[in-house]
Amino acid sequence: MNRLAIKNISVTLDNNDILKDVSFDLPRGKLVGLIGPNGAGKSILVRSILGLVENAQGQILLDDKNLSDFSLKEKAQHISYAPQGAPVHWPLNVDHLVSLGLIPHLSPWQSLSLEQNNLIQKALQKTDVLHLSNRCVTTLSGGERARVMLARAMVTGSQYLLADEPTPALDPYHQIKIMEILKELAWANHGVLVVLHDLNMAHKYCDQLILLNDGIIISQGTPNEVLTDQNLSDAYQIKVHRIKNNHETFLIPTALN
Amino acid sequence: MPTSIINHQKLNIILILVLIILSFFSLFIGTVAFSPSDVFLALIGQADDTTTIIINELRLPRVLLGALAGATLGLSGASLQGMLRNPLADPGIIGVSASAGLGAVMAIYFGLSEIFPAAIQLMAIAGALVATFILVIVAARESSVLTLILAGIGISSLATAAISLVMNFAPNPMTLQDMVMWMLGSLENRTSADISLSLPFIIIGWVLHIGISHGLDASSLGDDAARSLGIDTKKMQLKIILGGAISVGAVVAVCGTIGFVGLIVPHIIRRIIGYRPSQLLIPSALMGAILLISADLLTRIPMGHGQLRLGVVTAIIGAPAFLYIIYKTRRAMR
Repeated sequence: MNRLAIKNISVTLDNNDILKDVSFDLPRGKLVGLIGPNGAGKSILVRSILGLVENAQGQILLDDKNLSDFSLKEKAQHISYAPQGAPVHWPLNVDHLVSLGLIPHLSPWQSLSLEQNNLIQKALQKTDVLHLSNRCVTTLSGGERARVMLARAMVTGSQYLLADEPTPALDPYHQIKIMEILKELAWANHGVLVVLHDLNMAHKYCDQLILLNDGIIISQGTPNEVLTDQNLSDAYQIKVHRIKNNHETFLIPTALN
Repeated sequence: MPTSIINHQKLNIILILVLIILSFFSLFIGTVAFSPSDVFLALIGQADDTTTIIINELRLPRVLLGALAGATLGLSGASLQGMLRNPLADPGIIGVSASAGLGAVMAIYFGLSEIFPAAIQLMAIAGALVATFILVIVAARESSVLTLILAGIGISSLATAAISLVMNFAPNPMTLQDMVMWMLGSLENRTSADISLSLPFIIIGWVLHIGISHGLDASSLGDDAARSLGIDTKKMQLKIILGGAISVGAVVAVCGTIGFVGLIVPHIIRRIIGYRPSQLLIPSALMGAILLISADLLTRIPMGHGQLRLGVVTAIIGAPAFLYIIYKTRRAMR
């Protein structure tokens, strides 16, 4: 099966259970949203899938093959990662920054081929930032930067993409842009997992949702199955007012008490 | 702002040419003046005995050692700054220079150099290796880049304190002066024996820097992202620390402590070719060599009393230059 199967992931840090027996599938061709309140364990779950959490227990299967049998490089060729906050520690140019996404395909001595340079252009085009390719990353706005970081993760061309809050503090237009890029990526038969806080974005764009609370998945399924009043009050301590307009539903959250 | 003026290959060629011309030039500067043809004849072994001795046994080792030391400091500075993602890092920050200094000062204190000629150098290398050992233990554990910097500062402070302690109890003013002079750094009176003592360590250090380019670039995105790009960050950090410590330790052992070269050189190169950490390595090594040979030329200017020391020159010129560069790049580094 073409999917990333996450099986029984548990993480304990300093005697605190951060993740408890988390299992779900990330199929190719689907955009899966990982939602939950602050501190639910979303980021650490994403990092555990990538093998970045040292004492994570459990198993990850990539197309039925055990991910722990893959070398770091092979893993990087199959799964790309856009970390939360997306730090860039040097004022690099945008095209150089995006080129880092091709490192999993290079041997230590190799530099970029012409073909790979074209891939960079294409990734910049897909995220609509081609005009910024010679700009320094420190001069970009938040929306530009988020799209550049996404281009960096997409250029690898891996089957799976894990994006940890790719829309932090972005205005509505740029949030929609990012979600549309991710949706298109899923349509192109990639498996995309995205950590989100905006429930309306999650409802509108994701094929499936995983609701994490206190390190446990309390619900997974289609957005309508997951975003029930009961689940939202359990996880977020909110109630939602639903507005239906044509085929779309909008959720307006208010605090429970 | 930081788009590159020229690409790094062109820069490397220019720097190599400058280095060759400068090295040749420094062969005929000194208390005895030679013509270029004298220097050339001496190098191919056709000059008279005095000329051959001065050129081949005094000035040539001095230039070679200056180039090796400068290149080592520049390379290590560039790789450490890239790895630690910190433009303030230099070989001094990992504590190796101070520990090598402690080894040397102890050798002088106990008068070991009178018993065994290379005692100062060997003790300095031993000091550097002890510091390296401690750092590698820290790096091999689950530790962040910040922990490494702090451990380096800790080791450095401890070694500096121990140096002060040894100086405090120096048996006589002569010994104390020997210690201070050694600490100030010099390439004077270095022979081919110094080169053969330090060269193996320097080469091991350089070799450990092979194959780190992609890892350094990926580290610009942080350790997590670098690992997700297939980089074994732990292995890369160990290679850079071990490589830097061994080679810089050997340099300090034969030249004394020479500050600022490793710190300032990557900043100069960034101004010319931009910020990609991998592309700074070779130009920084070449620029380090150029800078140290130039500084050594300045120490040959006759002064009223005694002589200008190499470590003093690099710091006196390096610090203001450093201030100028950080002022110019303050916007890009935000």
